[in-house]
Amino acid sequence: MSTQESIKQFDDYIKRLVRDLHLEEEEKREVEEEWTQHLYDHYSSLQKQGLEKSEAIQSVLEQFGDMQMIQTEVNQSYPSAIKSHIQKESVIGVLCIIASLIGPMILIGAYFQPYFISASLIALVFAYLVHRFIAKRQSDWRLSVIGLIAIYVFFFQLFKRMYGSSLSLDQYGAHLFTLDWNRLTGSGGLFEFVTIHMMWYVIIAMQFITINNYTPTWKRILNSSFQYWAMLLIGVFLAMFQSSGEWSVLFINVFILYAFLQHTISIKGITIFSQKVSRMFYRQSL
Amino acid sequence: MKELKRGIVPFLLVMLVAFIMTDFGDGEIKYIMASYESLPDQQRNFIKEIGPGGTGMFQHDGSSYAFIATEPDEKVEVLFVGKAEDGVGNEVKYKVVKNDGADDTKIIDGRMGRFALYLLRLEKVVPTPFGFNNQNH
Repeated sequence: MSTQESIKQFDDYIKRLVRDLHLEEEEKREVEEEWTQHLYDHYSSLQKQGLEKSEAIQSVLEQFGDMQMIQTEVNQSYPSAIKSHIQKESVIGVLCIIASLIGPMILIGAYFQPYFISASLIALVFAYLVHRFIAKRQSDWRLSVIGLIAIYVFFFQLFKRMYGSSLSLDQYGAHLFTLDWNRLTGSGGLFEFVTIHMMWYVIIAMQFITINNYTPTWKRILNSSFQYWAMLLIGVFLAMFQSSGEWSVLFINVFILYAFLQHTISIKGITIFSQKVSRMFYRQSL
Repeated sequence: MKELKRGIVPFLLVMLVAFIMTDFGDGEIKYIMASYESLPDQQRNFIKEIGPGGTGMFQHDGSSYAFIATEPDEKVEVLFVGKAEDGVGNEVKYKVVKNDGADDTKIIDGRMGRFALYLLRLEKVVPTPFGFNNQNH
């Protein structure tokens, strides 16, 4: 794309076409790239056949199809972005609430308190807003690299403070990976140095599994890593303003879990799962 | 370039938070030992509610006070007062050791038993969450 001349008519056409599609921003970008490439490829082949520039542009746009018809077709065939969004947020929200309810009981033997729900709900609203309007909006890989380094310095400082001056490289290494379930949770819930790293590895692994032809895997790794660590950082920051230690812990945990699930749960996965469940119930009812 | 433009504001916001949160010092809060007698009745009664092993804090006269109650034959060695280990709020790190009798401690008849009181007056008002981290455990 960068080596070929830019054709204003194509760029404008695609922009107007994509604008009214009911898709998530990322999906819109993917569709935009794919269609733009298609227009330019078609244009090149027509020019090779000897057509004039203006003639070729006109022909490409005509053959691509009526804008309104394409929009209608795409909007009908893709599930609504709003519906998908609500589905995903609902699943993540329910999982976070369940974790907030059972977590304190399992980890510190606490009895149920109403604030397990109220604190988690407030934290969820904050997590949603921070993710949607801050963390997710940043998807430039260069900024992700700089941001990741700055955020990691903060978390490393936290970890170092726990050990004081006695922190060695071996100790640091031992807190980067574990498969021991007992080490993954503590009195602070999931807010353990090793746990936030293990979750990070899962998010990175997910980028290799996820199929996306338009953004290279390494870019997705960098961006999702930044988004995850940024959520953690803001979660810790907001926890400082809570009225008690218990609220702070719940706040941080909801942020950690929310950030993790955002990168590991997919709408496609949810749809397949719900279809399987409904098929199972259907078979049982027969 | 489009992504860079779109991401710059959220990025700067995150960096601002990272800058605020990054510890450029050790986060230590200065304190002095305060006397129980200097407190008004309301605060004294609040302290009396606890027993050995209890901790608490309150605000009075433009400062935060933190107190630790031990068995009458024990004393507290304060190791650190300042930013908490987990980065959330502040804490007192301390050790409880046997009192060899050399240190005079204030013994209080609390509602939950007699205890030796260690009362710290912090240099400023410190918001919650505020933790008590006993290094003996």
